[in-house]
Parts: sequence; structure tokens; C-alpha cells
Amino acid sequence: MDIFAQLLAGFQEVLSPVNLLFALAGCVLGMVVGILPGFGPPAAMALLLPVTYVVGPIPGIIMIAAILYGSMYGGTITAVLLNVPGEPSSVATTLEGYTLAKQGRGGPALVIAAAGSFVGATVGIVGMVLAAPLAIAVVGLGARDYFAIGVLGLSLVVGLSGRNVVKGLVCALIGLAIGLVGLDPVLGTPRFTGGMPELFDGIDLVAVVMGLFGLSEMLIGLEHRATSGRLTKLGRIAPTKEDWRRSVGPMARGSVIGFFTGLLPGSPGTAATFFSYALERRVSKGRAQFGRGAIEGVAGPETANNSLGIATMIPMFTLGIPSSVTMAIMMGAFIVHGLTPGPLLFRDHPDVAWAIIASLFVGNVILLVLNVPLIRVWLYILKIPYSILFALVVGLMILGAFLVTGAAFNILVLLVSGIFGYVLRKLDVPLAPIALTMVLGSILEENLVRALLLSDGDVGTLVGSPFSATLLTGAVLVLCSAPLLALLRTRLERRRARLMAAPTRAGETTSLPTTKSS
Amino acid sequence: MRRRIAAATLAALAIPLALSGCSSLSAGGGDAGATGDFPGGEPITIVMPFSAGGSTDLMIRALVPFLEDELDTSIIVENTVGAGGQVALTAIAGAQPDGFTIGVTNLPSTLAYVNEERQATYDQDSFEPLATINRFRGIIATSSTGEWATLEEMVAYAQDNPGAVTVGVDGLGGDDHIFVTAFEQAADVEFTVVPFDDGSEKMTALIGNQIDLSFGSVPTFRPQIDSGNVVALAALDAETVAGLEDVPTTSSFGYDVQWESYNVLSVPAGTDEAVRSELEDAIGAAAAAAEADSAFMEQMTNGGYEFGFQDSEWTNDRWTDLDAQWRELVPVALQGD
Repeated sequence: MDIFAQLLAGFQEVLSPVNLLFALAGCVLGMVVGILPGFGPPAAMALLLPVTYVVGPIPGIIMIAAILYGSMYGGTITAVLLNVPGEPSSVATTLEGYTLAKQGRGGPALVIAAAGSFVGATVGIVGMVLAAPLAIAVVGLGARDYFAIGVLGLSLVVGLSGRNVVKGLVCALIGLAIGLVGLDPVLGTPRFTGGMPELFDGIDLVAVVMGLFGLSEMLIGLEHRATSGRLTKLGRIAPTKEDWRRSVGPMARGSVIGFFTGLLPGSPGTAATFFSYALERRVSKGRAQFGRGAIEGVAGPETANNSLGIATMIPMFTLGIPSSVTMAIMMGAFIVHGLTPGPLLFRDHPDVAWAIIASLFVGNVILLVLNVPLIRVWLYILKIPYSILFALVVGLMILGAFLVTGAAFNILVLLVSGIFGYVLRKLDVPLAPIALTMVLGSILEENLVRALLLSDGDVGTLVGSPFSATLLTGAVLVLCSAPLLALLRTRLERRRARLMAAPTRAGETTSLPTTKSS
Repeated sequence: MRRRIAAATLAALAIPLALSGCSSLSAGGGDAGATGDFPGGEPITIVMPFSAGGSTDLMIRALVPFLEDELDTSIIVENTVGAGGQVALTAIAGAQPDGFTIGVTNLPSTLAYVNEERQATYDQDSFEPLATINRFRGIIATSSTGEWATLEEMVAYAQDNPGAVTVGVDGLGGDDHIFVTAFEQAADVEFTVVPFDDGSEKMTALIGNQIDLSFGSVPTFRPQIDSGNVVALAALDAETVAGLEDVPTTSSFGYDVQWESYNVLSVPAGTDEAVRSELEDAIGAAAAAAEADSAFMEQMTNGGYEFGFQDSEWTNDRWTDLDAQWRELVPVALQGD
């Protein structure tokens, strides 16, 4: 049968009252989970799995999927309004979003974020309908290709460093160092764990991100806001025509970046938002405004994040491979009903498969409709007296850190990284590179080792596939591009002694062009 | 201003404390344990070393209502994830041995303590097994577009080309790595072992022919076998596996290697014998009630579980055997390649 006829049948199924109700419930629950820092969708999805036994596969899975993408809308709110990212993927949004909020432009930032989320999700869904062959093609990518993706990601650190590239590079190293803690991915030997089994899996990314970015921000706030009690003015909500116009490009690029990152089963998913941010910082029309509140820095990452969220479902739907924890839970929901995700699902149970795909679109419409009017409500967060807000947010973060693994150890991680982040903020150090390299570190290491094991130690394998060769060349180009080099050079002159370890000093000397950030 | 900050900080700490209070209380239990009226309506905690929504978690959570009926009390499943279960197992081994903390001590994953690198503070003697409630069977899988159609072809190739056949494992020293090592010994072959961080990456690499083989439990491969991406070269078993009747067993080739994977419930060592037998009987009765429930059994079949109760004695024997086997194979696996 024709794909579109099946898709239409899927929409018909979803628009039944029961399915709509479950989609709505999932969306609302997802948004709540997304808003609360540290509360990830996996816990909510897993806890609601038993509901699917009762209500049957279609409404059950619709709800579970809705929790996942609903949480992506919710995660933006604390990131933009409070500079508190609840998960690694919201970090990039805080960079420009919070600056905008401080200028009283939190409303437009949230509207653009919601619109971007919707655009990203829609592109992801269209891609999902059309991209089954693509998903099968990317299975051919191996360890060296994922290593190349990691290297390309690493080259973006400079773009995330703001005014101070040197400090950014130091932070990148800190992030990589944090990523080294845990069991060696090859030998299984504990590294830097001090004999604590809690550290065997490494330092938890969610707890670190909440501490480093969120808790440190709340601590900074204590310095001057505890008495004044107000954060900022609310400002208008609707974005200007100018905002919309400037967001079109970032949304288009963001949805493509997110889609392809999600499609690859072994790729560093959360890094997509950083990729988008770093790209916009260099290519968008408003790049000069980055660091001082550029709407592109919200539109791009938010779109990428939602496009990614939908695209991660593609390997599960088309191949039966769950590429993340949340996908593993969704796959569980299929399996308990005797449904096998993968090509067989489309052959044996096309009604279920297409109903769920159609529900993704319907759910995203629900979220858009819910979100835009709610922004007015969210903005009132800014009116809560800081003493109360501090207690609420920090309390929720502590609870969230505990819930990540159910162990109190992560509360300690949260508090320590909060204090660490506070010190770094005081030193005016850009924090984003830490989050990026923490995400990329393990992917780089594992895939490098795996590639070398598979090639019997031959380093040439790393550029042995067209895909990896292209990406590695891209990474070199990014690093060597003129303005960044010039920027590095000015720093070099000033602090030569400290910079002996700076990784990029290759060739090229250009006269100092005016760069966006110097 | 100071006072305001102090108050805010206090309140921040109080919220999670208040909310988590309910779960930490349950571990206490009280002193009803020693007498005949265990558990006396006090809640019991099952400590689960795996994340919510995983195969063990789904199975235990499905069984819990039946067990609650038998014990006439409420049961809380606590997911404590970390270090491949080591965080939870450390907690179980160190819990009050009063019967109010039951641990999920799956075999062979619990045996990671054999590997000294893991610095585990517990071993077999730290636990008293109550029962085994499920078994997973295992297979040797390869990509359907791979080089070999049968186990003999693969083994012949591996014997002629030592190290040329690659096999993906879930981390060195993990369950599947040990079974791989056992097979290498039995078939007199040498593979190149490639560690993966999670199962889905390994599966992708298998389907994409990045690696040649993967050893694992049947449910992990089921969707891929059904859709034709993956074929089973052999069942790692003495008898054929349900649903894969035409796949030959390793025993039929003369290799005595069996995939053994069990869901086991245990209490900390030192738990009173009366309490233990109370719990064991209750689990047996709950398993019988669950087996009579068609919805439960349908869920088990769909999930690829081989649900069935085995008592504490049987479990203890299996544990002892596997422990000995592991002590022999783990050093070989870790040094082998």
C-alpha cells in the first residue's frame, strides 16, 4: 500500500478521542518532566510502561513517545529564564537564551524556541517517513566514522569559547579529564575512581551539568538577588518580525544537523545542539550579536534538539535498534505487546507503526498549541521572590540528581560541580566547552580504540573511509580558518608562556581581520 | 540577608529529604523479622541493580503483585543503577539481614566480583539465594550478510586465521566475554575481542558487518532474527532453544559451552533461616500463581523469558558451579588477547 494512504490511516487512528487523550497526557507529563531540572524522560517513561499493558499498544506507546518529545519543549524554559539547564542538551540554549531573558526578551526567546522545536520535530517526522533506506545505509558506518564525528565536534570548542579562546581550551581539557573517570573502555580497569564503585560508570553528566551550570548560577544569584527579590522585567512576549526573519536560517540548519545526528545510532546525540550553536555563531547573519543575546543562538539549538529527538526513533522503527536509554524503554513497550520494532513492524502491524508516527505530528501540534499561551505563565517564574525560587530550584535539582541513578552519590556530584562552576564563573571562564567535551570524550576514546582493534593497530584506518576522511578534513578546516587563528595569535603574544600546549598553531598567518568576538 | 539565605538553603535540602523519606524508611523494616509473623505487614524493598524498563526490571515488576499477595504486604522496587550493578550489590550485601531487603542478584552478572580489578567488597558468601525465577538462553549470532552460513565454516576459518574473526562484547570481562572465552577454549580458536559500551552499538556493528560475531541472550537478538538482519549460527546450549528449533546446538558440535543467565533473588548473608524459608515459599507460591495468569505468561513469552521457579538449593548449586567456572575463565579472558 502507498505510504501516504497508510499515513492517513494512521492519522485517522490517532484522532480518535482515546488516542488524543493519551497523546495530550504524555505531552503534559513530558513538559512537566522537562521543566523540572534533572528529571529526565527515562524515569517517567519507565514508570508508565505498566499503563501500556492496560490500555493497549497504540495509546500506550503514543503516550510514552509524547513524554519524550514533550520534555524537549519543557527543558527550554528553565534554561532561558533562569540559566538552569536540566540536561546537557539545554546547555547551548542557555548561552544566548538567558542573555535575552535578562534583556527582558525571555518571551520572544521562548516563542522562537517553541516554534523551532515544532519545526525541528516536523522535519524529523517527514524524514522518518521518507528515510528508511537512509537508516539502513548508515549502519555501514563504523568506529572510525564515529571517531571522526567526535573530532569534528571537538573542533567546535573554539566556537563555544566566547571571547576567551584560551580559557575555552582549558575548559575543554577539564571536560575531557572528567570524562576519563570510570572504567577504562578497553581494559575495564577503574581509572581515577578512588575505589568507589559509584564512579565506575564515570561522573554522571546530568548531575555535573546541573551543578556546573544551574547550581552555580543560583549561587551567583544569591550574591545580589536574595534581597531584591526580582530577576528581571518581563517585556513583551511576541517576537518581532526581525526575530522571525533571523530565525529561519538557524531553524533550517538546526533541523538538518539534528536529524543526521539522531539518525546515526552511535553518535553523540546531545552534541547536536552544540553543533548547531557553533555553526550559527559563525555563519548566521546575526553572528556579531552572539554573546550579547542573539535569537539565532536559541532558534538553532532548539530546532536541532527536537529534530534529533524524533530522528533517534528512526533506528528503532526501521532497524529495531534502540540507540538511547529512552529508545530502549520505548522498544520495551513494543515488545511486551508482542510487537517487533523493525521492518517487520511495518509489514505485520502497519496500523500500529503508522498510528505512532502520525501521533508524533499530532503530539507536536498539541505541544505548540499548549506552549505558546503558557509562555505568559512561565514568565511569572521571574516574579517569584528569589529566596523562594532558590529553595525550589535547588531542592528540585537535588532530588533530580538523586533520581538519575537512585544513589545519593550524585547529590554530592551536583554540589561539588556547583561550587566548581561558581569558581569558574567568578574567573569568567566559559563553561560550555566542558559540557561538550564531556559528551564527546568517551565517544572519541571508545571509537578510536575500537577502530584500532578492528584494523589490528593500523592508524591509517582512521582516514580509510570516505566519510571519516571528509569529516576529519572538515575538522582541520574549522580549526585552521583564518579568524580563529588570528584570535589565537593575539592571545599567544600576550601569554606565550602559558600557551605552549595550545593544539593549533598550523601554518597560515593572516593580517588581523575584525572578528565577531574580539 | 544571611538569614534569608540560610532559610532558603534549609528549605532546598528539606524538599528532597521529605520526598525521599518514604523510600529510605522502608529499608528499616523493624524487628518483626525474628518471629513467625514475618513480614507482619511491614513493607519489603527489592533492590534492583538495573534501570527501570530493562528486561529484569519488567519481569520483577510484573511478579511483584503476586508476591505482595503472598506476603500480604507492600513491596517497593528500588532501581539503584551503577557500575554494572556493583553499587546495588554492595548495598544489598551490606543491608540489614532482616528479610526486609531483597536483592536481585542475577547470575552470572553478579559474578563480576571475581575480577579483582572491580574491587568488589562482596562475594558469594555475602548473599543467601532465595530462588531463581527466570532463565535466558543464548546464541552465537552473525550478520545475515556475513561470511559464514554455519558454525563449522566459521570455526574452520577461525582456526586457519587466528585473530581474524572479530567478536563484539559488552565490555571486557563482561558476561558475554566469558562465554566467548569458554567457546574459544572449547573450539580451539582465537577471536579478536572488541569491547562495546552498550548493546545497541554492538548490534549496529554486527548488522553493519563491522564485527563478525556476537554472543548474547535470545531476546536481545529476537527482533533482528525475525527481521532477517541477523542469523543464529548456534544455540549456546545442550538442547535446542524454543522458537529457534532449527538452529543447531553447540553440544551437537561437541563443544560443551552453555549460555546460562538467571534472574535470582537473594537476601544478605546472616538472614534468619525461618525468614528465608518464609520468603522462599512465598516466591514459589507467587511464581505458581503468576504461571496460572495468562496475561502474565503472555508478557513472559513476548519478552523471551523462560519463567520458572527454582528453589534456593538449586540456585546455590548453580551459583557455586558458575563461580568456579568464572574464577577459571575471567583471568584467561582478561589476558587472552
